[in-house]
Amino acid sequence: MVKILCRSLLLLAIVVFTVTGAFGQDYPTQPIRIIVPYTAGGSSDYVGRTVGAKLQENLGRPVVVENRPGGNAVIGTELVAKARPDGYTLLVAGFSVLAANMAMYKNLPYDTLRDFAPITNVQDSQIVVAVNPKVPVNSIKELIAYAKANPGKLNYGSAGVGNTLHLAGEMFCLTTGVILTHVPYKGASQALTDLLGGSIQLMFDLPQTPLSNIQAGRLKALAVTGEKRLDVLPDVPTMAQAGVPEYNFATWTGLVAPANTPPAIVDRLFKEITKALNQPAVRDSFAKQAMVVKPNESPEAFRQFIKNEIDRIRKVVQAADIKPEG
Amino acid sequence: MIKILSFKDFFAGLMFVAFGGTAVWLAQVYPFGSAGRMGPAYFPTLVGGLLTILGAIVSLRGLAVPGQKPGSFHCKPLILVLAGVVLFGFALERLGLMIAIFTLVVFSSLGGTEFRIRGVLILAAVLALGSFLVFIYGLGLQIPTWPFSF
Amino acid sequence: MELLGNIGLGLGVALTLVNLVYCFIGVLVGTLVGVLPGLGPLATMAMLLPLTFNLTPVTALIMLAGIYYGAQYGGSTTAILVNLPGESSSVVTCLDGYQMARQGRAGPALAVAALASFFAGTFATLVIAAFAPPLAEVALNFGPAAYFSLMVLGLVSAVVLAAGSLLKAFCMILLGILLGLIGTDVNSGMARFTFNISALTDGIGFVIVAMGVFGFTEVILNLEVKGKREIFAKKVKNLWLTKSEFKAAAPAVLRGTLLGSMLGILPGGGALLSSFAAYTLEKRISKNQAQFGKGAIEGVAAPEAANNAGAQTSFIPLLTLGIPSNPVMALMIGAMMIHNIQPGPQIVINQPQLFWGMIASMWIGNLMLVIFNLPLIGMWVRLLSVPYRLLFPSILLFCGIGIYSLSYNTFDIHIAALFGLLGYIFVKLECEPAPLMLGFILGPMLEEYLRRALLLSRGDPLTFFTNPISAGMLIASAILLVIVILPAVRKKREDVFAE
Repeated sequence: MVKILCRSLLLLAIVVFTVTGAFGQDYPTQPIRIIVPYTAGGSSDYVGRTVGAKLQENLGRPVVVENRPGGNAVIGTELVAKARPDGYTLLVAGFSVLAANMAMYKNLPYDTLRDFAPITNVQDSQIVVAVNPKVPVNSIKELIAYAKANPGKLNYGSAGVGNTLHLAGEMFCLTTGVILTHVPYKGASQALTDLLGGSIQLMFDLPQTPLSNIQAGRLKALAVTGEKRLDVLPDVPTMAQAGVPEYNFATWTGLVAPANTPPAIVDRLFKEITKALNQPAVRDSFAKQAMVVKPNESPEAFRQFIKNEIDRIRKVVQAADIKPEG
Repeated sequence: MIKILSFKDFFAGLMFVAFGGTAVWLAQVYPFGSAGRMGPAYFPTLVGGLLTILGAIVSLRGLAVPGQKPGSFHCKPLILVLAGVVLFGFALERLGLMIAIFTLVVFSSLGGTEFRIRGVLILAAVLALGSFLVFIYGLGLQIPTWPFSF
Repeated sequence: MELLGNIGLGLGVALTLVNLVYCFIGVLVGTLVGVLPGLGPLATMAMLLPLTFNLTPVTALIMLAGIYYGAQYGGSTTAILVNLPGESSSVVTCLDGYQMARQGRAGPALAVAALASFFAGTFATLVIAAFAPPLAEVALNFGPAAYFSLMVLGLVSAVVLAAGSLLKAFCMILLGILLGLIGTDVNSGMARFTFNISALTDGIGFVIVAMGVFGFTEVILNLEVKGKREIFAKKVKNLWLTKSEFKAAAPAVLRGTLLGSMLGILPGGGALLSSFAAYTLEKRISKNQAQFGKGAIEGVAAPEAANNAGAQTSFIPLLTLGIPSNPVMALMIGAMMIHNIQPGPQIVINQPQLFWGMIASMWIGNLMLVIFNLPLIGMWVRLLSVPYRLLFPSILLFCGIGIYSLSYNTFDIHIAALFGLLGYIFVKLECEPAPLMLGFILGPMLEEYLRRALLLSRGDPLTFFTNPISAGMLIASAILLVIVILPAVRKKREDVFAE
């Protein structure tokens, strides 16, 4: 009796594995949607469209990018969390959606580790410290000294309370022990406008936004976080070179699928995406936008990475007492 | 017995008081802050409070200053047109665009001055076909067409 | 002259066959999208973005830009024909344009809108070509205090929008502000008045409110009329402007263009204000103020010129500083990124053919639009003679689809219906919706800039007066307020004396 049961279970297991494996082979048979939870034109959008174009080439099926902005990226993210886990709906999500939101909001309609099957990271972005030329500092050390001499005087802008740029700024304050005044805006470009105009004095920003103005000399870039200098800003030292190696804030963007997506499909996507990312042309186009292509070794590695990030940011949020919900 | 000389002003004022008062009441849960460092509740309370006061003045004026006779409220078009739109909203994702269009056209036409069932159904069919061609096929909008397609 | 040489370079780029074709595709799609209520240029541009991958950067940007200002033309069409503002800038066109249509003057209304837009587009293009870099500098000098004062000026002028009771108009402005405050508060990150509904965290969309209050309400009101009274006057007078109409409209176009060109440069919401400001200006200086709101042609000409001029000059911060003035510009930046171009101060130097080619193509696009739209006027006017029982369900349907396509959320449709109800109540109680809309847009911005300015000045209210731009605008607001209130007060006293 037991023998028959075991054999039929084994048979069942073989059938199931073959079938799911077969699904992995047949995938994709439909168009794939990549959801970008931001309005078109940002860095996540760029990631989605570039990766999407490559997937379309390699998988032979149409890949459509859909922008579903709103609610601090929560709306688009929730959509994918609740989507069918068949590999036809993917999400471009990164640091702020998967890690920071978890640390800051009590009532999120999704749980990163529970609702998503990570595929891989796509790019890492450093933070550049940009100041208005009127500020009398020319290096990070000078900035710290000036800030310590005038606590709370310097204003730095961010794209909103709890936003990546806000967290980057707070981490800087915690790491270096200075006091800066945070000024939230409705978006990085609005903050940039005031930075150029001189109403605020500095920004801890992703390099893409202020890049052209730094290159034109309208802003001074004091340092970048990260291990190497950016190709597009060869004269700007790294934090380590500037004497503040403790501050190494970086943000990342990757692709995830809804939880319970068949592992065969996740692996297939992982292979295709990493293959595309490792092409020199793709690496270069990202580098031009100051993004460093950095895929993981495996989807599990990405999952572990995300978990670590959530824990890391929880500490920062607690220490800086950031409470967007009041 | 207080005579309402201007129906419109009196009730308009009441409406403003209601909105303003609700805003002030709802804003209480947020931190108020001070004039130099306003909290999220400061501005809404200010505006809501001002609206309440001015609304009261409008109402009082409605008691004192004569105004035009009020226009008549016609419930039929109001309810049916809005019902049509609301049902369209409910039907759109559950039953698909085609059925939603029929619902909208039928209900809103009922609110019109003349209702010929054949003309209404033909209109709905034409609109359904046209919408499908233009929006779903042509522009590629992600609107569910039939029931349970999502 | 260097300018002529650059324009020549630009025309050389813009007049190639490829660029002409894609310019035409862009403005055509843009017009169609603008006519459809709800669906806006942003969503369309995002959808067509993949198509641009295989195009050269210049061609891609020309097409995308064409969609954007083509939509402005299209939005005016629906505003005039069926009281539906396709874009936020078309709201003001509804006020007089729709009334003109009801009087059988839809032809002249559409014609003046197209011509005004073309003139404004031409002028604005020249402004960009000649003055882009220095104008960008001016934009940078606007800090939060200056923006706050600009909003105050805008709100005071909103009172002028009112045709009836000033007190009620002011109350409508306040109500609009309260409704606009629904959503996330920038300065604290908290969500206000959202009742934990995630669709409300970013507030209620302007288009949704406009469709409810203008579109749905109008349909309901029209259906109330029993009997055979025509909604649109059967006797269509003519399709073109009469001499007197032309004479009245021309100076309005000029004023609107200047105002719109200046306001469009400001990244913080200047272009939205331009049509409102132009309308207010026209009404204030007009000799027959009573006509406004009942079909004054200046009330269509000035805002149309202003919003088109503003739409063009809002490219300036993008092309010179790499800063987007609105979400559409942000998408243009994204498109440039995909083509590996860095928008910013370097573009004029590094990619002159891109910069000047785009500018020249903007003018060509405007030319195409006016040539394309004018013959269509006859067709649009004929559309109005369709029996209303067939027309209005179609209007409701296109609104519904348009609203849904904004965020793919049926909740938005229900909100619009709610505003349809509110709009109906407003009309019955003689409360005007136009001041509400302006308060809705300006209120939250007013608060944002107020708190930011106070944050930067560490609580010192004098910051609004130490900044010269800010002080100037506050003084202008005070003067405007006095000018507005004085006649009303004087009239009251005359009434009292007459008794």
